[in-house]
Amino acid sequence: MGTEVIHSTRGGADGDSKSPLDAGIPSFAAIEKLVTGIAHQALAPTIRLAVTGLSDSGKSVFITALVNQLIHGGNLPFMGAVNGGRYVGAKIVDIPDANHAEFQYREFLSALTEKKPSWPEPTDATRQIRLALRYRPVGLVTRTIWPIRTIYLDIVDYPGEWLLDLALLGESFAAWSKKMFALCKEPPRAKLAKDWLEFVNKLKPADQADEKTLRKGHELYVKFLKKCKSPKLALSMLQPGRFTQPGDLAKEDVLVFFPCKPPRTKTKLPRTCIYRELAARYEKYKSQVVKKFYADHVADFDRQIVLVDVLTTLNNGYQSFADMREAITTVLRSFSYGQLGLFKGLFSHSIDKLLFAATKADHVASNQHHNLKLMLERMIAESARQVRFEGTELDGVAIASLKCTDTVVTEYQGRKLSCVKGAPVDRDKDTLLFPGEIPETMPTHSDWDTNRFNFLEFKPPRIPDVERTGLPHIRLDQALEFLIGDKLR
Amino acid sequence: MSDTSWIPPVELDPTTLEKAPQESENTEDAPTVVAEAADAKFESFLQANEFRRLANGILKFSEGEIQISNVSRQIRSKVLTSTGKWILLTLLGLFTIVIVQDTFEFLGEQFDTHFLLGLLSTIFIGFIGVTLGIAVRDQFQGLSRLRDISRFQEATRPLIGSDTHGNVASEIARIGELYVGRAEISKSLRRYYEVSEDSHTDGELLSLFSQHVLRPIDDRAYSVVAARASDTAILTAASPLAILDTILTLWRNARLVREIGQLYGARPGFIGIAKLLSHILENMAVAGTANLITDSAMETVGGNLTGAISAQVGQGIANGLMTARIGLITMQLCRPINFTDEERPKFGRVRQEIMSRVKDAVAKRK
Ligand SMILES: Nc1nc2c(ncn2[C@@H]2O[C@H](COP(=O)(O)OP(=O)(O)O)[C@@H](O)[C@H]2O)c(=O)[nH]1
Ligand SMILES: [Mg+2]
Repeated sequence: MGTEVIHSTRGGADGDSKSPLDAGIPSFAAIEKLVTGIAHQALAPTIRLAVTGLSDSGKSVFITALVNQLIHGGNLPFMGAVNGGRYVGAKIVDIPDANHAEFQYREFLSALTEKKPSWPEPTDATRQIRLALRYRPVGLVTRTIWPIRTIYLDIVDYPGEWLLDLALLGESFAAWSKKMFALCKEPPRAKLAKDWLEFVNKLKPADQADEKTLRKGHELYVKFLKKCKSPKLALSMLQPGRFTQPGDLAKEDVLVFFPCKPPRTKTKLPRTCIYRELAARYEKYKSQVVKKFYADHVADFDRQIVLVDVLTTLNNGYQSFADMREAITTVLRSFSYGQLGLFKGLFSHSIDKLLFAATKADHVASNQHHNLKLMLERMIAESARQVRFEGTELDGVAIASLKCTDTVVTEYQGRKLSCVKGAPVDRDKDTLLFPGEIPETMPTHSDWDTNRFNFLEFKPPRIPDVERTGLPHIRLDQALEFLIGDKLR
Repeated sequence: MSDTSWIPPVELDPTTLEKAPQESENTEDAPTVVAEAADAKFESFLQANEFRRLANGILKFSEGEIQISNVSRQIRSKVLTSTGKWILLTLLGLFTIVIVQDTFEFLGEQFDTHFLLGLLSTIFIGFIGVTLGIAVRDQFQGLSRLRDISRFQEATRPLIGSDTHGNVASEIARIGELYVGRAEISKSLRRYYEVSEDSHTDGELLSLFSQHVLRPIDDRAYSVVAARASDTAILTAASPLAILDTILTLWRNARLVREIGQLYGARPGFIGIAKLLSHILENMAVAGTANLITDSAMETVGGNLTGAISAQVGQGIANGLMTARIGLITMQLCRPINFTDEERPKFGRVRQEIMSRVKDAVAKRK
């Protein structure tokens, strides 16, 4: 499927746009870069870990927790290197030719552990962090050469909304518009899109374009997307991603467009008509915004963790679940998977280990984690099949980057209930919550009752002495062992 | 599974919590406190299960040649179910009555002779009685410890690697109780309670406990096995008398079994050791491994040495390997949580160690 995927990212685009992703014959500069890259890799090996997740899936918290755990080192009993006493420690180091701001680890950590703790603000820009990890190698030979080895771990954080743009790279304006209109026909979007649909249906795409009309349409479209994103619906398939999280492009013209049906005339359209103007802006968006993102976030990864917020979709019902499944499948098509063959490896990295993680597992009692994992596996089944076919090793796990609750078994109406105990975000006092049980099998459509679950958001726990104890977590060590354990041997 | 019977979400008042039964009580408490709490539960558990026949307890040993059935199951079946036991008990009862009666008569005579003589004799006999009582109690405690351990094994075996929750924490607290008062282990025990969380599955908890508490014991037991086995090999290779060999080996093996049992907290008494040993030997004989060991030892050593010496050294090594096997089986039997395949001590490593030590010793003597 991999080759097919690459094909679709390239082939579907309009004829005139030449994709910079085409490998073609490597230029001299590329070869030079490659050689220095290989030399660097041998001396200071680097793991590039892709933390992939839609918005609100818990990426920023995950990265903060991961950095904290690796620096602390005492809380990871299921990491082989820690368990074997070979793990030495970790440190944040500067990235020499950084092209993004640094990830705000310290700010986030102190916000999470303050007296009145708070979660990180939603991410609005790309941020990077590099960790130097030190360990004692296992092998006799390696051990003699390097008693202590250093390996670098690179992680990038970014707004999850932008991920959905990756799919645009392979789509023409016409194809993309068609898809968007199809989506808007179905509930729950049909109702939310009413205003915007009224507007575009009245629009004559062959008419001369004027900025005011375009802006109006754009604003209506953005309003529609934001309604879809509201916590009550939590839909995921929202394109383009910059419309819901513009980042530094908030006022830029390149964002002003929206899906549009092609006019039904046979005659050639003038360049300045609404339809062609929108299509041109769409292409500009792709080449100026999306391709840059692609280069930063899709190329060159060794390992990947895909964070999925399964519980929120259970809260919101079947449509939210299906929508997220669609979004994840779409996003993962853009990445390149498989073992690095001798020649494949010459031109690009490829992800050889992929971990799917259901985040926020602390929202449910620990006896539910197994079913949570099953639910996750059901959601990602299709992507998993493709990735596995490429030869990438993959696994699924239920984690909590920051464990905010305790599991407590209590008696309720003569039955034993496994509850969670913690402080919900909007309250001061702890509550004892039975949030509903995650079913073992997928609920049928009619069975999918939204009253069945009540997952609350919790405040970060109060930790008296983070320096000493580190942050509490659920199975972060097992996630790390899967992702980088083999590199610390 | 039809999903019509789901429980709707509810929020409860957390203040009622104190009265409700808790499952995850033991993560924060100090291990000893938990162990005490577990004690009562455990007593009832013991009572309830006293006569229950355990499920088929076949253990597979590392290299696959030896199949040993669970030792305590046999101990118990021998002790509890044979008719011979009742005859023995009756005889014992009769004997006791006779002795008690005699003692009283004897004491009466002493008191008749002189008050002080009587008092002295009473004290003396009382002392013997108490000592005897303690010895007997120790034996029984040792046996019941062994039985506990095999119960721990039975209880935890199906949970190794499992995804379930809430079945193993109390069991582990009871296992931890085996090591109460042992300074070197209490630290690792504390560490275990630090890293274990209510979110860990049963399989994860077992693996954590094995890693933190049992692995250091495994390492020590392993080096004890290697050392004792080499000693046996060297000693018997030197001794000219076959009967001396046998006695020496038996004695050393018994010591080895006791040492390993103690490391794992089994503390087998004399009877316990005898049972374990006879059981192990029996199984090895059944599997025909005793001869096998001699052959392989001869083969390995015979090439390098000549004639009579080599035969003797070969015999020594065979004895050493036998001791090593006994040691490893004892480890397997006394470890409260079964080894996983990767944790299991490797026989090959001991074998090499024994060989090299014996060769060193022989070379020195020449
Ligand atoms: N209880 C709990 N909540 C979490 C956890 N991780 C994330 N969250 C919640 O999810 C929200 C979004 O997390 P964030 O990392 O900002 O998501 P991002 O958009 O993917 O970067 C946070 O504000 C928290 O409320 C976790 O481990 N436990
Ligand atoms: Mg974020």
